[in-house]
Amino acid sequence: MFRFLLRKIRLGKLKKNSSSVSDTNKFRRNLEENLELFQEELGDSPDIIIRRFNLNIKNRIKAAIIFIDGLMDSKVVYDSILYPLMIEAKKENWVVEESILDFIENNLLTVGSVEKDNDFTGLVESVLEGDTILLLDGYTEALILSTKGWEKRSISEPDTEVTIKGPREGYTESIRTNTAMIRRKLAHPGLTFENKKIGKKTRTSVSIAYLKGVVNEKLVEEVRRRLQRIDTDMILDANYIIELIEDSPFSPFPTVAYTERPDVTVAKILEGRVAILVDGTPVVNTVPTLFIESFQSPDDYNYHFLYATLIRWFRYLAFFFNILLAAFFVALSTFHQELIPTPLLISMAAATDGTPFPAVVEVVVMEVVFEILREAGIRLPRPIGQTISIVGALVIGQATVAAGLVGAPTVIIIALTAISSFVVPTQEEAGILLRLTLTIFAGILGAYGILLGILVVLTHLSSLRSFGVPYLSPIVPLSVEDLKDVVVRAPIWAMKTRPRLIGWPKPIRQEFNLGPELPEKPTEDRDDQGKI
Amino acid sequence: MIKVKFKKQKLFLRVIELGIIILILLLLSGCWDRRELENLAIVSGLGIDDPEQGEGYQLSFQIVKPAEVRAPGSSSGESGSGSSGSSGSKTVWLLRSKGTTVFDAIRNAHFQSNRRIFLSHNQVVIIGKKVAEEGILPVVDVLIRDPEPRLQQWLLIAQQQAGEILKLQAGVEKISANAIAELMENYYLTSKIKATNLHDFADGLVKKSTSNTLPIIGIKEENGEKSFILEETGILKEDRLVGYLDKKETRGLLWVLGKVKSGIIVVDLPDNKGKVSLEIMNAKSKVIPEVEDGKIKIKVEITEEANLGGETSFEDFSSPEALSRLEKLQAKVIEEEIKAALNKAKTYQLDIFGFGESIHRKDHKLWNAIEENWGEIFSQMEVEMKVKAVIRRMGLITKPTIISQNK
Repeated sequence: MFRFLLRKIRLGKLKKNSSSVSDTNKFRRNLEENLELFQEELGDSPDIIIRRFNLNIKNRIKAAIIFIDGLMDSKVVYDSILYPLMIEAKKENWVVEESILDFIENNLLTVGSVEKDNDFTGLVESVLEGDTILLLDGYTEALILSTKGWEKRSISEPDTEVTIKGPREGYTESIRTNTAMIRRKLAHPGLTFENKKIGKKTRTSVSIAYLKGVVNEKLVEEVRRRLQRIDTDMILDANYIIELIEDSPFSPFPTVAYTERPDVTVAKILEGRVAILVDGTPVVNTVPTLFIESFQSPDDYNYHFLYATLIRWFRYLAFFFNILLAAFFVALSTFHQELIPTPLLISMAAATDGTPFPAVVEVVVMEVVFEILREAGIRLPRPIGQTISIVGALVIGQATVAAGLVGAPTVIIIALTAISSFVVPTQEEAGILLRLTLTIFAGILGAYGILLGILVVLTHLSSLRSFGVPYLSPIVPLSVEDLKDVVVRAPIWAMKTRPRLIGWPKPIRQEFNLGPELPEKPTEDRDDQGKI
Repeated sequence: MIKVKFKKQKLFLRVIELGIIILILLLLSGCWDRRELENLAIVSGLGIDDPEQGEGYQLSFQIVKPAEVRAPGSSSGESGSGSSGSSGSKTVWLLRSKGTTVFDAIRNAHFQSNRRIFLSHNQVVIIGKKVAEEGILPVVDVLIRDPEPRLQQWLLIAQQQAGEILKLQAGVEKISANAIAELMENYYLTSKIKATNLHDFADGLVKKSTSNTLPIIGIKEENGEKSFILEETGILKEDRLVGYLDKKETRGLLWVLGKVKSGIIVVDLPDNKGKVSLEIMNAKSKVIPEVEDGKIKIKVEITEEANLGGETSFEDFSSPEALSRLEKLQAKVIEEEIKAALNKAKTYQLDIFGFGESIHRKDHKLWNAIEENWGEIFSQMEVEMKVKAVIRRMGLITKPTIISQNK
């Protein structure tokens, strides 16, 4: 305990020391001295390039640019910085009225954004972010030239959220590309991005995006507050942020939604949500998040609404299968055999005849085996992943039944559960936990145990909130108007309001009488035609 | 900051509370009736007989062998010749046990059965004739009282020993008790079986005025092969078997009870012209008690609809007159069936039709007065019958293929 405290104190001291090193501004007039400073701060890494050259305006001035190889766009550095300064500058007899530094900025550099700075720490950071800095002998200021440009993955189809009819573009790791994709779909001046660097060491760019006028200002304020209090070394993935800003960190249910698709993000921003973009993650998160969002697939809105409604119902069913089927199987086959129809009971009894383990052990073991197989399949390279699934399905599935270790119904139940778990991918993590606990509950207490488990889950779900919005809304608390996108997927022309608890600052999305109308016949007076 | 700390502490406490509650639940309730599927002896039929010696009961359990049922080429029961134990692929196991009471006998089955006797899926309860004559109630009480056996089990009386019937093989079914249960469920195809389940039976016992009737199942021997067959209907006085209704009388009873759904009415045409089979499509009954000059009278109204199913004569019924003649003949047959049942019931002085119940419902004061000697009153009571029989359709051919011609 004491040791722990001591360590804490030492750490605190260390923090103070490290901060005191870099805060003083020690820019000199001498170029070489300055470059030495940079060399000292950035180290000898081979990717840090310091290029010295002579600038011939009026008279020869020593100059240097510093950049990191690989993080800058070399074309920009060569064509817009080095070429003008080294070649073009010589060609003419310039009349220089201002300082040389200003002159260069105004006349020679053809880089998009140029900034003047004399803060040493800031300059180092700029270099590390991929900008190039230009130093001149005799000046205590430097120019930051925006030359960011590195190898990026091109926009490709999202892997986890495949749609049949929807757009095929997904986010990339570059936050700038991602914001561009959102902006392209939502060309409205109200769309606002707020940028922030989080992570003392990684200095990861985090943006929040929202639509002014639609979003609840307090929500934006809350998102800002939660991001503000993050004080950590590293943000490597969006999940680092999520776990730091979640409402209920212990809940298995996701209270922050994610998507790989710009169209989904834009739809959510338009409902009044706030998007959180993290650099380096091809996923954009949106808050507040409702339970029901997990069941709304982007393709729902690309298909006919009747079909979409039906599929959505199947999705609900699949979710119940996912968490309850195994538990019900265990409960029925070990406690409530009287509830099974006689012929089915005989079939089940025949299948389990001679299997060595109780049903609950069978089911739990098979579930664990399945989860292991799945994990193996996901992490392995794709060709081997398929091999794994064959091993899993054929060898383990069939062989266990043939060997009489596990009853065939158990394998069927597990297979059905497994397939169902892929239908609602965002609730998968919660699904596995619930499924296992409920199965064990069912194995101990039967249907009573399941009921008990469901009760606990429901209580928990109804107490959950995501950024102030009840997680189960619009079901609990009930908002009849919002059921248009819960119980059914209403036709687009009927979705006239935004979700009540999220988009209330501007609730009306569209006119209420947008249903397609027949062209009016001039002879007849039918003004209410087609309105529903 | 303080608030946050407080919140976290509260959460921690709540987690502990929840843990304690779950722990208590697990410890207190325990595995009260956890039973694995492979440890159950699924009983499909239960026979209750008098033991050959001593007192008490002898129970025959028809226990399903699930693996054998599923396996191809297996057959049910013992083969007709009665050679037991020879075939390895029997789908059921007939287990016999004795006990001073039925419940005792059920538990005594565990002297032989390693698997737990599981009665929830029992389909039929067959009671031996001797037991039925002594009284059914003490036997079925445990089946009604215990939560495990269902009230939907069919209750039958065996002509001789119930155990012998459960031993027999059913035609197609692998489990013969299932076959018997399906015979009961399909009673409406003839409407000559009084299918009764435990619930109906208990219900009938509560209604003191109405006497129960139970189907009787017997054994038919043909070319040395035995099979079970539904014979007649037993009339019970309280819970004791006292009399019988034959099949015609049984349908007479079902007409009044309104339980006739389908079946064939065979009408003899006058002058030995032949027979006509009519398929009952729909039947309704109405029992109206009336008091006239202090005398109780029951009016039974039957409305029946039938289709012409076939005829052995070449009579043409397509004309309305011919049809109405046929309808009248049909009504007469129905009336006769009811009368036969009524006369039988009157000889036993047992109201199997529920007339007493209808009087009770209409005029309970009157009922209270006559309840004591209801049997006697019933046997002398006048019953007025009004049968309205209609023939709706003539089938695909409206006229016989060969029209009879007077040469």
